[in-house]
Amino acid sequence: MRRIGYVIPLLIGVITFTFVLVSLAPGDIVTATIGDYPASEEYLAERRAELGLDQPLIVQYVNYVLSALQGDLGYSFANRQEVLPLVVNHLGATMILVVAATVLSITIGLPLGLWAATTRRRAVDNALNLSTLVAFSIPAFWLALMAVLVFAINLALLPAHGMTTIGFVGTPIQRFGDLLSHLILPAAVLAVPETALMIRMTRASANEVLNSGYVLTAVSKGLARGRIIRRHVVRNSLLPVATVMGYTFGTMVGGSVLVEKIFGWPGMGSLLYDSVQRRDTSVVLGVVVVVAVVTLVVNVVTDVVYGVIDPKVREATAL
Amino acid sequence: MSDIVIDPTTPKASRLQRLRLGRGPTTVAAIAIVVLFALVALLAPLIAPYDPFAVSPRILEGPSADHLLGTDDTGKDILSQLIYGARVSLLIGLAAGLGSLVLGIVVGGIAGYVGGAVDNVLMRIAEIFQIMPAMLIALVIVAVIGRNTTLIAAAVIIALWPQSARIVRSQFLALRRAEFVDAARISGTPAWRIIALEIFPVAFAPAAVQAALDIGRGMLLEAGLSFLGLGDPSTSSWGGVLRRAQPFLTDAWWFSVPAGVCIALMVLSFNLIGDAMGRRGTQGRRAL
Repeated sequence: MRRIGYVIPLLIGVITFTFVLVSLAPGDIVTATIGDYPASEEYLAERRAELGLDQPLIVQYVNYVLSALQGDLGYSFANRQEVLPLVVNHLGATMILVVAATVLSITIGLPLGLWAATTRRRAVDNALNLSTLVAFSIPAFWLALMAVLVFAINLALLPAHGMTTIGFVGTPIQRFGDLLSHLILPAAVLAVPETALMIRMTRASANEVLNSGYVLTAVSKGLARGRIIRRHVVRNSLLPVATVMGYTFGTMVGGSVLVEKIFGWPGMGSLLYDSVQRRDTSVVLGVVVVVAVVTLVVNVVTDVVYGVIDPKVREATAL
Repeated sequence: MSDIVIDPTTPKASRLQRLRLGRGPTTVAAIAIVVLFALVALLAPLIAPYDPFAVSPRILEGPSADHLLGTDDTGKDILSQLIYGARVSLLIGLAAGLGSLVLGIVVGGIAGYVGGAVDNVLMRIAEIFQIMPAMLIALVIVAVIGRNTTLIAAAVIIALWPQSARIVRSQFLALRRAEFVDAARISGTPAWRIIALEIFPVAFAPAAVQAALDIGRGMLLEAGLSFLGLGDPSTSSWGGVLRRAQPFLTDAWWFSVPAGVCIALMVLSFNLIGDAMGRRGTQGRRAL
């Protein structure tokens, strides 16, 4: 219950942000959210009356927030559909992509981060550090283009477009394989900066553990180095890394706008891109609100999970 | 009446903490690249061989003596577009770094120094802008309101400021209780002096590190926006070049490769500088 009190104000904040944007857009809220779509004067008048545009701004604002909180994110004229179900329909594909990228970044990033922290060879640490900076610096969309060029066009190893092969028939396992082959490139591209982040987080976290009193105790006790790292360092340094999951989810959705567009992945990013091109503002704003909701949910879940797996946090919140 | 005068000068935190950079070869290279790109951006009209918007019948030609990096699908010289693109990238990047630094110092400073309800409200606002991905924030602002350079810069700042606000806030929170600040307060130093002369110089270093990283993040956001077709149509930007290069991936590597390399090099340089600034003093002793 305590977390509801944390989530709702933030959500209202996000909705307020979208309200301010629409208010600043040329034209009024109705023309702004309708964009370039032909709508009859009667419809516009009806919407204006519905939204109470003759009323003071503050009343309009309250109405806007209340309807958004109830899931009314407006109507998409390009898709002739309510915005909320439209966006939610595209959520699944994005989630597949983001989860795959997360799995990749964890499996590669955690070991490398631990290696960077525990190695005695400064060259290894420096090389890993430089690689993470390079990974942060390459624009994801360019990397995606280059991946298409090399792996899909020149080497013809993997499909470059879509989520499944159109007209593909086969057993469920074959269909899964088909999906997987489409997933590899976009997920790998999306995972590049996340892996770098994972390496840096793990390295920092492990370094902190290495400086802690109990590691010093273990060293003084004469425990073998490998044993200390396996028994104490690894476990304790992984926990804080888990907390960034909620945050990285958001950045990955941001990155997926560009990556989905290039790979024709039918998720929220593609929907967002198409809606921007068609000036379908209500969908653009709807995506923002839905992404914020999902990020908040992921944050709350990681928070709860963190509390469950880390006794220190559990004790602290109980007090 | 005592004639003892308490000296109001308290132990100074320091002058502005010097941002010493590691002298590693990578840092030197990064600075050199930034200087090079900055010169190119400043001198663009002098060194660009062609007008970046001038179309010609020589479309999609490979690199030659006439066009060092070839031409695009409308016969425009790619090298000239990249030279002018350095201006857009640097402008938005620097605006992002400076803007979020200033905003971060103001908001984070107030939150950290005043504390209590003010801190709570300000940090909640920062959080609102952190649960939305930066790319998404910048994108909606430009998509809904309009596409021009000023607005793009503002959008990028709005997307990036919370991080530096958080950093400055945590510095102020910690320093507010530091001994040398207490000493200043006890000796009757006014609050503005404490903030400006005692806390700010110490808090500035980590904020500056973040600003260097924000320059790179700002450049990436700008490139992404231009790639999505949300750049300022009156400028020639690296992301815009890549947008137009997409259909010609297989036909013209000179269209898509150099522009991406420019973005990556530029961003990497600022990241390396930020990293070198941030590393100072973090390599302490440890048990293992």
